[in-house]
Amino acid sequence: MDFDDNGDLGAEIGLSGHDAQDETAEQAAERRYAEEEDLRESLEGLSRLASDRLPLEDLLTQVATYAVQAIPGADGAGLTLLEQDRADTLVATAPFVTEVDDIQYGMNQGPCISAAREGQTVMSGSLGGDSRWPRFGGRVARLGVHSVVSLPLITPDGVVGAMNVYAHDKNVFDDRAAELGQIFAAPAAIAVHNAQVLAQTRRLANQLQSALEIRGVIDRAVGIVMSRSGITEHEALDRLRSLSQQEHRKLAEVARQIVDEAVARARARNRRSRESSY
Amino acid sequence: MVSALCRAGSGKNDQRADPLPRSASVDLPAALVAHLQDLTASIGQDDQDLDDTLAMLTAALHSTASTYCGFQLTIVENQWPVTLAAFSDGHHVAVGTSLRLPLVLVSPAVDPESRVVFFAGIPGAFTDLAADLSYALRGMPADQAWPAADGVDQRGTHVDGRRRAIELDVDLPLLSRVSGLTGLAELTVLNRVIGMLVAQGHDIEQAHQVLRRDAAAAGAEPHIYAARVLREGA
Repeated sequence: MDFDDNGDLGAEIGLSGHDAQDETAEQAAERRYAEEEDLRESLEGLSRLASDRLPLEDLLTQVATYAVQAIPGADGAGLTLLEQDRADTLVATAPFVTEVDDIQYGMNQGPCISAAREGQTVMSGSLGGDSRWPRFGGRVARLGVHSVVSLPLITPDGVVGAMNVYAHDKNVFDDRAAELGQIFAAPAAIAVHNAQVLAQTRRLANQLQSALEIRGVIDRAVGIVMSRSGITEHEALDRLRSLSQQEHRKLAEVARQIVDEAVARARARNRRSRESSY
Repeated sequence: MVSALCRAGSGKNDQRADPLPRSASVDLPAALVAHLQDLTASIGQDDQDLDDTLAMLTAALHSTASTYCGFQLTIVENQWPVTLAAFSDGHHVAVGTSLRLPLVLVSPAVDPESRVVFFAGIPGAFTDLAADLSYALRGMPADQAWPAADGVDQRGTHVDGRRRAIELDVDLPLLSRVSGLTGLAELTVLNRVIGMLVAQGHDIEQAHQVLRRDAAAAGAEPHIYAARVLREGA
C-alpha cells in the first residue's frame, strides 16, 4: 500500500469496497498483493512488540496502528480492552476515533459493543442509516464517519476486547477487509491479553514491594522507639501513630524521619570513633 | 478496597455504564483479602488497592488457562521472603504445570530471588504464555534462556549464579495450596530488631551483620533470635 509524504494512506486505498468493481484483473491482483504486504508487515510488527519497553497503553496504540495499516481503507482504529470490572483501557490512532468511541460507550450502543457481545465481526458502510444503532449512527455520521468494521479480540476463553476500525467514506470496508482484519485480530488478541497478564503481574508485584518497604521503615522506627524508651512494641507503635496525628503527617513519613535521623547519628558516631582511633 | 464479600468488582473505577459484556467476577479467599487489607491499613496506605489488582490478575489468568488454579508471588525484602499465595477452592483438581517468572525480568530493582509462579491443572497449559512472555521480556524464546557452560547464559541473564529465565514446571510438585500472606510476621520481627540496633549506634548494614552474627552465636535462625530479643527487650 502506498503512503504519501506525511505517512498517511494514499488515495488509492479507496479501491476497497464498491470502487473495486471497476478494477481490471491486473489492478485487482496488484491491490491484493499490496494488501497482503501490508498485512505481513503489520503481523511482523505485532510480533516485534516487546511489552517491557512499552507500557500497556503504548502497546495497544501500536497494535491499533498496525490494524490501520493492515485493513484497506482504514482511516483510524481504536482498541478496547476488557479489564475485570475496571475502566477499560482505550487507545486510538486518531482523535476522531476517540470521539466516536466516546459516543458509542456513552450511549451503550454501537458496533464495538455488538462485536464484543456477540463475539463476531460487525460491519457497516453507512452508519447514519444503520438501524442497529440509530442514535449512535446519526451522531457519528454528523462527524463525517460512515464506515466501520469492529473485530472482537477473542482468546480460547472468551472475548478480551474489541478493535474498531473506521473510515470517513461510505462503504469502504468489504468482506476482504473484514477477512484481513480477522486474521490480524487473532494474534492481536493474544498479544493484548498476555500484555495484560504481564502488566497486572508487574502492578501487583510493585504494589506489594512498596507496601513491604513502607512497612519495613515503620517497623524499624518501632524498634528505635522501643530501644530508646524501654516500652513494648504496641506502645511504640501507638506513640508513632499519635505523633503522626499530632503533626498531620503520614505514619510512613514520621517513621522514615526517625529512622533517617537515627542512622545519621549512628554514622556520625562511627565516623568520630574512627577518627579518634587514629 | 474489595468489600467484605471479597468479590472483585466494586465498579468504582468504571468510567461508563457497563457498555460491554464482562467476564465473571472473581472470588478471592476471604483470609487473603483480610491479610492484604491489614497490610495496607498498617502502613496507612489504604489507597493501595492490592486486592483489586489481585482480582484483575486472577481473572486474566483464568482467561489465559481455563485450568488455572492459583499463584504464589514471592517478594524478597532484606533477604527475607514474603509470599502472597492465592488459590481457588478446587483443591481436588491436580496441579499439572507451573510457570515461574523471575520478577527481576519485569522490575530490575527487585531482589533476584523475587518471583511469581502460576499454577494450572493441565500440563502444557502455560506453554504459549511462557513463549510470549519470554519474547516480550527478552526478545528470545524461553528454550534459549538456559545457561551456557561459562555460567552466564547467552543473554547474560545470570545474577550471582541464579537463573533469571522463565521456567515451566520447576515448582512442581506444589506443596501447599493455602491462600494467604506468609513471612510478614517474621519480617516485622527482623525489622524491629534492626531498628533497636540502629538506636544503639549501628547503621542499617551493620545492624544486619550484628543480628546475623549474634543469631549464629546463639545457634538460632535470625528471625527466631530476633523474636527472643524483642521479648526480652520489651
